[in-house]
Parts: sequence; structure tokens; C-alpha cells
Amino acid sequence: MALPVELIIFAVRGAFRLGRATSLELQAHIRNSELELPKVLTTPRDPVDAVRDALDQAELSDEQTQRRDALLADWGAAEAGSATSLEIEGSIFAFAREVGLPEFADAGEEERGLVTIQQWSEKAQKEQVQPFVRIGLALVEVALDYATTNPGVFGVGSNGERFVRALASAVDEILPDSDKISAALKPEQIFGERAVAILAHNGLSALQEHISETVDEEHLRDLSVSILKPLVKNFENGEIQRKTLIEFRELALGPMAREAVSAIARHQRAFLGKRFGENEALGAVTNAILVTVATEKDASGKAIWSLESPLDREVWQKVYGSVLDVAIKRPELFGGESDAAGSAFGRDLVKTVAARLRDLKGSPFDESAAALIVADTIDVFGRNTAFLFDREKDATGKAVPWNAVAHDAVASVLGSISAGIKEGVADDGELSGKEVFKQVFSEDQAGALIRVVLDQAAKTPGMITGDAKRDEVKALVAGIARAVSDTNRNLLSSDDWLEVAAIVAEQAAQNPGRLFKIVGNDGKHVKPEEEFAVRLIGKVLGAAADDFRNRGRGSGSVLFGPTLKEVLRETIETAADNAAVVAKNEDAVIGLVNKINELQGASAQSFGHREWLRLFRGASKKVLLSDDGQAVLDGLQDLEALRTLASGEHRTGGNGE
Amino acid sequence: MMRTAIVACGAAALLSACTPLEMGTASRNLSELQKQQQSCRTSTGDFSKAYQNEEQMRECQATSLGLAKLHDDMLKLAKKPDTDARNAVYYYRIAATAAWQSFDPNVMENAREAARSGLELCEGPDRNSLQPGDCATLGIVAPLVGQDIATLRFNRLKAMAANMPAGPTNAEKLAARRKALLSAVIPDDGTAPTPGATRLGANARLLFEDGWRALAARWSLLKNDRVHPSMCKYAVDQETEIVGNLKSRFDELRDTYPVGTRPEPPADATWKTSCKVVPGTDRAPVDVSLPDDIAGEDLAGQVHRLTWCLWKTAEMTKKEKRSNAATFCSSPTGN
Repeated sequence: MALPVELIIFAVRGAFRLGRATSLELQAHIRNSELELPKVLTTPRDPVDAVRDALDQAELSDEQTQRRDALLADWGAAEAGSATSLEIEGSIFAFAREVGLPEFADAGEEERGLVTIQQWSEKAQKEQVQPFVRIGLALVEVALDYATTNPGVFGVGSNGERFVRALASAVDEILPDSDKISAALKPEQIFGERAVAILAHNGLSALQEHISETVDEEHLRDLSVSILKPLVKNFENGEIQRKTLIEFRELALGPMAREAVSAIARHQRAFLGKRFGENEALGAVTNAILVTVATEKDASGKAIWSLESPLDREVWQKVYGSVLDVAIKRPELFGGESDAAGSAFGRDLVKTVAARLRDLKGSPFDESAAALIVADTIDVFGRNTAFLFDREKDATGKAVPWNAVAHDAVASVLGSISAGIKEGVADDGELSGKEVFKQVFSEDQAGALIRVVLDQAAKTPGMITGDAKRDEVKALVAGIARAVSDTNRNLLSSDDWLEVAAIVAEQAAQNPGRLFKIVGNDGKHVKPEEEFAVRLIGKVLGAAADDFRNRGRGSGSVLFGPTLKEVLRETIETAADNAAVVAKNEDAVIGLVNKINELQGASAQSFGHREWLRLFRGASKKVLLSDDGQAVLDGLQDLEALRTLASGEHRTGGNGE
Repeated sequence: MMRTAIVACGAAALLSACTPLEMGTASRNLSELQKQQQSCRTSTGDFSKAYQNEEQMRECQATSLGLAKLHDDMLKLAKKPDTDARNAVYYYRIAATAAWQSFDPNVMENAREAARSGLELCEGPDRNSLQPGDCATLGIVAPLVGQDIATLRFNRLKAMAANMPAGPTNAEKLAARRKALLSAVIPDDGTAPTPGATRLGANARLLFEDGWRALAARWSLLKNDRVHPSMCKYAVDQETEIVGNLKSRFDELRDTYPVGTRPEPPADATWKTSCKVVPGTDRAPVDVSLPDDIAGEDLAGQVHRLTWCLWKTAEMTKKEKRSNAATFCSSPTGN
């Protein structure tokens, strides 16, 4: 039997004209809901006091008594709070354990919290309404509350109405036996009732932000089941501690529900009549996140994720949203040929992401930026799946379903980003590599930087799924991070750096093996600072910084910001076109920069940044692509000669002409 | 949110939906504010951690004010003449809990008043139609508030004692702490330290009489067969905490003595004769003081004995001692 959906809708729609009977029923429902009471305050005892007291009362041998008295005398004479005092306290605890006293733990904060109390005794419970009615009333209560302050979300045929219908009709799947009257409510029904209310409240709130979109009821129903069923199922089977599940429900369910409903609303047009995907598959994603957050521990047994940490919650909220986005845009991934395949994909993806998030958290990225990067990575894969994986073949030459390898690829690319960034960032003598990186890029900009690389890599066949020994993504990320770590980095703004990164990524992707060698001729790994692109950027920055330091803005130095960015663009693009020749003229191009700076300095009043760039654009190719760039440079005695060279009248023997 | 609901309910068009809206909002507000308050304080009632930066401090102060406001709003709704008695008790329960959890001593006192008004209804002609859980809560809020006020005071006294000027060594710090704690119990009129006569004594009385004894007197409410066992279990757990707090006060004094020089407490078996306990109904003693034969002891000895008597009296008469809490709470009448 399903929840009486129409009755619920009727009750909510007639919000201010509730029948007296319904109103009284609702009042009774609210009065009879469980309540929360706090624990009383305590007077905790200092553990050192407690152990001294225990030793005072313990039956000790003469020898033990002497040792105890000596220890306590030493403690009394020690300066309070000093290292000596702490050391003696350690010895006192050790002695207490040695003489058989209970182990005295360090003072930890006592558990605080609220105690949930049921309102009715088991006897009274028998007189209660069936669980369905309780859940229905809870739904009415939330919807009514929401409709009072946001009437627009609950008009006839509105998203709000569809959502409440969807949720009500999903309850019989989430809590299958709720139509049966039993002696007492089952714990999972009490747990589920509140979960339904939280989902309802947050879902309505998310729909309020998408009031112009028409959201399909069927999708909302599928979504409700995929969010709530895993929670209730875990509560029922007891594999995860109930306390943790309650925490998850109270702290994480709301934000995740908002994210999920927003994802559905954002992508309504992408459905085009399709269903949202199989419940089991999406439920597997929710379940995998739940299990990961609740049970993942580090080597010392400490929980890796804390539900109390807003940052950790934000991480999983973002990841959940990005996985749902992919599920909507590429439903075949999650439905697959079988539900089991879809479930496995979702589960594996979450496992992969959890492992990589741990790596990324240790890099210059904080939790929030790490989550952004993971979300972007999933998004990039979602948009480029066919392009990236349709070429995958197994050993027999048969095409491998891409959803079978996609999570490996996500793992691989996130691993490359994490390893690349760690290898690339370098301290500048004052700040650590991590601090340098954070000084240049805000959280959003760090995410954008990685997105630039990922977008390029995803568009380039073989760059992501290519040879593991030539990890191009890692090399690219490491190279950019090292370039950004340059002591002269402040000549470019963060936005300029993002553009430079995009140029490097694009050129590196289109010209493999030129800007980034990755593996040297000797078969050894090439360090980031040895890569051609990084060397060039460093040298141009160095020349610009010398001029800026020597002349400064007062004397009209122009090589910084957008001008410098354009110089880097020209240099990198030219180098990518013909790396072998440019490599011979690396120093000559720096000479050209210095030369233009020198000539510009001599007539700064009539020589602005446009002229500077025009000359560089004209002359740089001739210097860089010449057989002997230095000889070309030596021929530039004055501004006139430079202008002649830049205008193309000068002939060189290089192969770039 | 509360205000929104109340304003909305002021509109003429809103009739029967109004009350459930107010009730639901009130309950959610209390839950939300209680959770915020939990993150503002430690289990000892120490707010200093929450005041580490200005923003946190503002948030926590706003939480306390929010709870005080919720108390006021609920009281108004409870006292409206057309409020159904069942709902009035519900509002009184929220008002009392909110005032208790504000942790502003002046507002906390209001919890007792709200509880008293609610209990009048609980014992009135409509008593059989009221939610017994609300009445049970109203029955124990006042003693729990008493215990929390007493514990806050003692914890502050303890913190002050720990910060008394002293030499640098552990022994000197302990001596200063002992002096501070004892000075707090010097009788105002120079007589022996009986409960109520001194600062620490007044505190002990607050904790013992307003807390312990009042709680003990409420077991009939808690053992109502329509009150869920989780309420009884909660009360037993809080009772255990109160006994623990009384023991802590005794320990705190003893801790300040060097090991080997501490006065020995009487044996447990001699509890009734070592302390002057006047038994009352429902096993809860109506008074605890010191027997006449202790008058000759020094001040420190008297304080030591009195704190021991308060602790032991509570421990020996506590409900949970009769059996374990689960058995006790599931039995209709207790044992």
C-alpha cells in the first residue's frame, strides 16, 4: 500500500484551510514526536589528581610505597606544567599501571550531546497510528512549514507539489512495511521518518532556486529512493554504527539532498523523456559515499573523514553533485547493460575518488579545492567518455565497455595531478612550495588551473589513457607548478598565469615530446625544472624581472602582466612548433628581450607596450628559428635595425622563414 | 523562523494550520539552538573555547539570546487563554528546556517558573489527556537546572582556586588550591559548616536539595506507564551524573592534600551514623548535615566529612542502585 499521496497534497495545498480534524491530527503528531534533552554538566577530575588519589589508596609493598613517595615528591617539587613535570606525570601513570591500577587515560573531553527520548511507552505505542500515517504527517508538517514562507514553490502543478508526491510515493519502497500496524515503531521507521522530513525540507529549498524549471516527478521519485534507501538499509542491517548514521542524516543528508535535487533541476532538458537511471545504481553511489565517510580509517585507526567537519561535508557534497551530473548526462554509464554493472561503476568511482582525495589533501590543495578538482575531473570524463574510451580494446581485440575502465582512468588522472603538483611546487627561499602555490592561486583558481589541463588532456587522444611511463598529465601539472614557483612569479597576475597555463597545456598537447620530454634520452625521468617549457618561462621571467628591478615603472618598464603573458605565448608557441631549433637559441631569445628592453628604456616616452610587443612578435621568430640566433641578435645595433628585423625585411639563414 | 511563523499566524486568513505550524517551528528551533549551544560549551559548561574569536563569540551569544527569546515566545503561547491544555504543556516544556539551555543564570532561573506552571496543568483536571513525556520533562527540568547552576558555580570556583597566586612548583600550586577551596567554606558566622551556611555549602545545597532530592521526588512522574522507558533511562543517567558530581567535589578537596596526609573518610557502612541524614518519603533524604560529635574537628576535617556525607547520601539512595537502569525503567513500579 502506498502513502495516501493525494491526501498529503490536499492537506498541504489547503495550507491555511486545514480541516479541524487534520489540524488536530497534525498537532498530536508534533506533540508525540520524540524530544531531545541535554545531559547535565559535569565536574571532571584532573587525571593526575585521580591517579595520585588511586596510588594513595592502593595497597602497596614497602618497596612500591617508597617508589611512589619518591615519584610524588619529585612531582611536587617540579615546576607545574614544565617538561620535567610532564615527564614525571608519565612515570606516575606508568607506575600506576605497573602496580595493577586501572589504566588512567589522558583527560579527554567528555562526550557531550543530546539524548533523544521517545514520547510514548510501548503500551501507548500500541494505540498509535500506523507508521505510514506518521511519515505522511511529518511530510505534511514540513511542506506546510515551507509553503507558509515560500508559497510559490507549492502551487498547483508546481515542482514542490511534484516533489512531495514523488517523496510520498517513494516511501513504500524506502520503508516497505510501514503500512502495517505493529506493537511499536521499528527503529528504522523512526530513523526513516526524520530522514524523509530532512529530504523534504532540503529538496523544497533546492527547488525554490529552480522555480522556472519543470522537474519531472518520476526523476524526483527515483532520486528520493536512491538517497534514502541506502541510509535506511544500513540502519536496518547494522553494518555501520547507528550513531554514525544518525550523524550522517543530521549533518550530511541535507546538503547532499540539496545538491541532488539541484542536479536534477539543472539538467531537466538532458533527460528528454529518459528515466533518471536505475535506483540501484544511484543508490550504490549514495551507499558508497556513506560507507566511505563512516568507515574509512588511516593506518593508526583514526577516521579519515569527519562528519562534524564542514570542509569534509563540502567535499562529499561536491563529489556527489558531480557524480549525479555524470549520471544524468551519461545515464548509460550508470544503467549499463545491467543494474549490477551500474552499481559497480558507481561504487568503484566513489572508492577511487576517496583514495585520490586523500592524496590531494596532502598537496597544496585544501579539502575544498581538492573536491573541486575531483568534481571537475569527473565532469571532464563525463563529457568526453566516448572520445576517451571508445578506442579501448582488450587483449583479444574486443572493445572494452568504457564504464569498465573509466574509474581506473579517473584514478590515474587524479593520481597524476596529485603527484605532479607535489613534484612541481618548489619553495622560493622564503615560502614553502605549498605557500607559494596558494599565494598565486585562490581555491577557485587552483581548480580552474587543473581544469585547463584536464580539458586539454581530455581532448587529446592518448594523453590520459596513454603510456604510464610517459605520464603527460603529471609532467604538465608539475611543469606549470614549477613555473609558477619562480621567484619572479609576481610579474604575472593569477589570471595571467591561468592563461599561460592554458597556452602551455594546449601546445604541449598538440606537440607531444617537444615542450615536455618527460623521459630523457638516457631513459631517466626529466625533472620539471629541466623541461624545455619550464626553462623558457623561467628565463623570460628572469629577463623581465631584471628590467623591472633596474628601471621599474618610473622609467617606463613595460614587461609585466598582459605584455609579459603575450611574450610567453609567442615564445611557447614558437618553441612548440620547432623545439629543436629553438632549443639552440634559448639564450638568444632572452638576449632579444633584453635588447628590446634596452632600446625601449632609451626612449620610453615614445615606446609603449604595444610597440614592444609588435617588435618582439616580429623579431622573435627570426631569432628563435634561426640557425644562429645570437648572430641575428648581434646585428641589432639600434632601434632601426630591430624595426627592420621585426617588419620582415631582414633575411636569416634559419629554417623558420 | 519562529518569528516568521508567528507573523504568518497573525494573518486573519490563517486558521487551523496556524497552531501546528507554530508547534513544529518551535520544536525545530529548540533542536537547532540546542545543537548550536552544544558546540559552544564543553561538558563542564565552559564557554571559553567558543570565545576564541569574535565571530564564534557573537554566534554563541546569539544562541543564548535565541534560547532566551524562545523561552519568552513559548511562555506567551502557553499562557494564551485559548491554547489547548495539551499544547500548553508542550509549549511549557519547550520554554523550560530553552531557558535551562541558555546558560545565562538569570534566564535559567526562569526554567523553574515555566516548569512549575506546566506541572500545575499536569496535575490538573486535564492530566489524563496530556502527553506524559512533556509532563515528565517538566518534572525533572527544575532539579536538573539546579544541578547545572551548582555545577557551573563549583567549576568556576575550581578554576579560580587553580589560578590562585602560588609558587611555581606543583606542591605550592596544590597548597594554594586547598587554601582557596577551604576559604570558600569558612562559615560566614564562624560556626560549623552546615549546608547553606557558606558559599560552598550553599552550592552543595543547591545541587543536593534542588537537584538530587527534587529529582528523587519526581520518580512517580517518570514511572508513569505511558512514559517511554527512554525518559526513565535518561533520568537515571542524569542521576548517576549528579552522584558523580558530588563525588568530584569530595575528590577535589582531597586532591589538594599531599599523598599520605589526607584525612580518611569513614567506612561506607557507617554512612548513616557518620552523617546526620533525615529520611523523607520516596527514600530521598530531606536533610543531610554533620553529627554533633564532629564539632571538635578542625575546619578542614569538617568540610571533608560534609562533602563525603553529601556524596554518600546520594549514592546510597540513588534509584539505579536498586538494579540496573534498564530493568528498573522497564518495570512498571520499580523495585
